[in-house]
Amino acid sequence: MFKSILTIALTGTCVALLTTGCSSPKTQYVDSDSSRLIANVDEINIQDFARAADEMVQSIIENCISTGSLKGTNGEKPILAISRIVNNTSTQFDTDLLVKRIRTELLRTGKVLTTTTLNLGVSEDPLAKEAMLMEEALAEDQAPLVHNYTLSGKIIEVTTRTSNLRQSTYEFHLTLSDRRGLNVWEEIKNITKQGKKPSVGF
Amino acid sequence: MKTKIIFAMAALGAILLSAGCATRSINTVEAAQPEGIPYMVADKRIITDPSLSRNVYVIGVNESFTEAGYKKVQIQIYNRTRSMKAFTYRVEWFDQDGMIITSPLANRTPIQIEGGQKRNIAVLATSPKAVDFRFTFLESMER
Repeated sequence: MFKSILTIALTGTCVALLTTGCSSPKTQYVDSDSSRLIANVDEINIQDFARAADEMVQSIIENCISTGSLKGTNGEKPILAISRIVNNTSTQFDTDLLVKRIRTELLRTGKVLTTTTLNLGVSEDPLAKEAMLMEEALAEDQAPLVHNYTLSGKIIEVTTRTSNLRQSTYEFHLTLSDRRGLNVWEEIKNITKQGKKPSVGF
Repeated sequence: MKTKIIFAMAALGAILLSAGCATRSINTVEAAQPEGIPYMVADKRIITDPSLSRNVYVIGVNESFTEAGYKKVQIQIYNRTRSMKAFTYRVEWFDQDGMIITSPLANRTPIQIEGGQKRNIAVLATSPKAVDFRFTFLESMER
């Protein structure tokens, strides 16, 4: 009798341990560039920003940086400032998800300089702006720092649906303008997604 | 009676199968003597998914450099089946010491290729230090 109870108890414990060990974790880390990220039809996902930024940077490098068409003041490296990036989609997000990636990669090329002080509206780095103004006040004979190019853009959403399928196209427009207001580079990148419900991976 | 039911079910199954597996493939026209001469690269392939490799065949890899020395790589792929295939690709870049060049732009790009279609994937290195590359292909998940 005792032996049977012991056997049953041990078997139960083993089954419980095995079930716990084999159950999938509720939360797990995934690489930000993996194919296992969640993809939604109704919003721009992090992988979409990375993809759009990647193709935009490749286009800027190929058409502007590689050809040497971006010129700075007095032979120095050109300074690029970020202007307005308009979010015309139905979801709210920080446009830095796109812009910061582009800026980081352009700065890494070593061919352009970017700025945190010459911004539209509030400066990204108020302390750096204060320091810049102080330097300008101290060095009266020195020309103030000005940007040579500005990056502006817009993100537009176009949605379509049938009875059981939804489609969203996110169109990324970016423009690089010089100080005369002439566009030196423009690019459009589309990302289209179809689906019924959010899913993992693509 | 039983035979009739079996025939009816077989016919229904055939109809459903043909509807579900409807195929269409691409017809292509191009210059018989192309003017551009690609610089082809000898490539090394490691296949762990023979099905993907068989269906979406990598014809070849060619490369070029921009004026400022940025490397550009193009892979020509061919869908040998009669149905659309979906997969993702990713490019990793390495410097002359064989070290990987990391980037905040790293991502797996989804791509679709119709049956019988030849398609080129061209990627420009965003760093002038990039001298080597590695493409990885992964079949898209069934949803």
